[in-house]
Amino acid sequence: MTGNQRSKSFGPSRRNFLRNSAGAGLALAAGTRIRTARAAAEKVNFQLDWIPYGRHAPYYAALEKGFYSSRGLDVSIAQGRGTLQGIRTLIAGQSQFVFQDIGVMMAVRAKEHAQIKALACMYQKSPHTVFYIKGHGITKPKDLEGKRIAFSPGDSPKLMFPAFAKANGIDEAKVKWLSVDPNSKNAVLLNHSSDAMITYIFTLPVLQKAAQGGDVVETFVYSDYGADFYSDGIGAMEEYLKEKPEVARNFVQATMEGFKYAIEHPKEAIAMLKKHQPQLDEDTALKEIPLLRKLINYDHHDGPLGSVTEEKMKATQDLMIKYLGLKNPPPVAEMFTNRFLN
Amino acid sequence: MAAPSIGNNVETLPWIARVSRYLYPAVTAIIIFMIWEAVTRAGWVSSLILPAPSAIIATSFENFSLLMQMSGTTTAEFLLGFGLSVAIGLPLGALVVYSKPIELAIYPLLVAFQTLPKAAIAPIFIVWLGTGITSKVLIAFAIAFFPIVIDTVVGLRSAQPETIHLVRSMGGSPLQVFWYVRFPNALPAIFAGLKVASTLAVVGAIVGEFVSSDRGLGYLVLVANGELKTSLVFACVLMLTILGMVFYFLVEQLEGLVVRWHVSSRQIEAVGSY
Repeated sequence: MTGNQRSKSFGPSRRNFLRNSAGAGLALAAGTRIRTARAAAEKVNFQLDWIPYGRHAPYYAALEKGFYSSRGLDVSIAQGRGTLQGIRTLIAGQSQFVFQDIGVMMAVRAKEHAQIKALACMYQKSPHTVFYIKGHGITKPKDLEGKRIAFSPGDSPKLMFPAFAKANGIDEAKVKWLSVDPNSKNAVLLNHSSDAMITYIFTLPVLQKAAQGGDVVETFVYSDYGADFYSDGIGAMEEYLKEKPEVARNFVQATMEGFKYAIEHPKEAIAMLKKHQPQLDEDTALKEIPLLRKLINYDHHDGPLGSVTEEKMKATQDLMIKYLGLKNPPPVAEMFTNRFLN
Repeated sequence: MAAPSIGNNVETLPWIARVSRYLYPAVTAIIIFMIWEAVTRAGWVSSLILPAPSAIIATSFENFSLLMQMSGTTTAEFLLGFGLSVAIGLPLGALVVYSKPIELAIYPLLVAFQTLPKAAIAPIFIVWLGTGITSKVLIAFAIAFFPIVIDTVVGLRSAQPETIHLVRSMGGSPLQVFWYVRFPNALPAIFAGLKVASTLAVVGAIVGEFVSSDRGLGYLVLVANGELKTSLVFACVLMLTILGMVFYFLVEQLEGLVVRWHVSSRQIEAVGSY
């Protein structure tokens, strides 16, 4: 018996600690039981690929219009900082669904044996773009040799750059890469700290509006220059899909409903986005919706909106193998499923 | 013999206390690393998220020259930032003590500047100063100089008034008061400020590199992270820890030298004046 034990029935003592923790434990258990009885909504974390802009309005529309909640989903939408960071949260179980680049999902699946699956594809053409300012020595892709390009480590325009480079004969070793925080990339291009910048085509309205001193912002869109592939879509882990297929179906369907709503009612959808992102500039955000409409093939899609074809998936994989040196590619059929879209 | 105590002078402790001082933290660290290695080998954590210590060491050796190259850049950034914060912080501290108008004018502004989170204004620094080494040095300076100013002020003010009066009564000039009384009294506090600033300067350099850079350990952390090379990320962190510790240790050694030199130079003066 140590001198620390006292037989008083109040104040610090081992007996009291046990008594109190047992009491606390019972209260907690009771509370939890009560809480789970009341809570029917499934908590879901959905991580985006980037800072929410106009192109992300569909998800916020689905949130605000109750498409998620009417299907029993309590969805939290989280801002992203790039593809690999987002995929990592998926692997770690911090998010149940991510909105990320399908080509990169494929690469991660092949390299790290992480069983990620694409459930839908929104950007059916790659929106990856090289932005540059006119009149500073860049007129064609090959001119990028020897220039400084601003990029954010881990985001898919950088990961997929080798495809664009090889398709246009650019020697990547001659490019000077400048790592920039995602939020500062626009500023770094516009104040000429870098000669070019890579991100998605959606940023064009923002850049054009903010360009100073008569600068004109020009683009090389990867898909126009020989590097076209499936880009962002919804991804989830196979394990989760086996465990909770109904949740996955509800999530995908609600999200596609959100898409339809946003494309048919852009102004309302942007207003809903603005509620969550008060700093958003509505006019530039609104300009992104027509771009979104084109990317998801809203007017020309075969099969349900957002569905993935094996053909283009194979083309995406071939590009990854040929230009990005993807090894041990997973069988294409395992990479995606359209079953939740119906 | 002096009774054994946990003092700064390791050499006078009996050998067992001296060994314990290094043994305890070393053994604890080894235990932590062994648990870490076991957990990662058992596969309980994905290597994408937490690599094994053995993998980190292996990656460090594989990429040794790259790590050295990147360390060079970051070291230059934080050394210059630290140097600048000393060059500006010490005189500024002295000015605040010796000039009431300056104290009243500058002090509140300094405090206001200090409360600005530098990570928030780092992107602005980058826009103003570009993406090269200047912006990183200035961010490191901005984060590191405040502790130096504060500790200099506190130190210089800590001299006992009686001692100052004594020197003045013996005909000492303000400069002699400064050199023989205020400054030596201030040294412990000043060096405390320098030690804090040394770690902050490293943070500042990394914050700058995170916002925008094309080389350095912060840059490598981001790029390796972006390519899912988690072992390399940890190798960079290890490198940064080593650099920070070496720098701190050097400042401590400098403190020992300066204090000893100052004491001995005063003794020589004192003897000489007989």
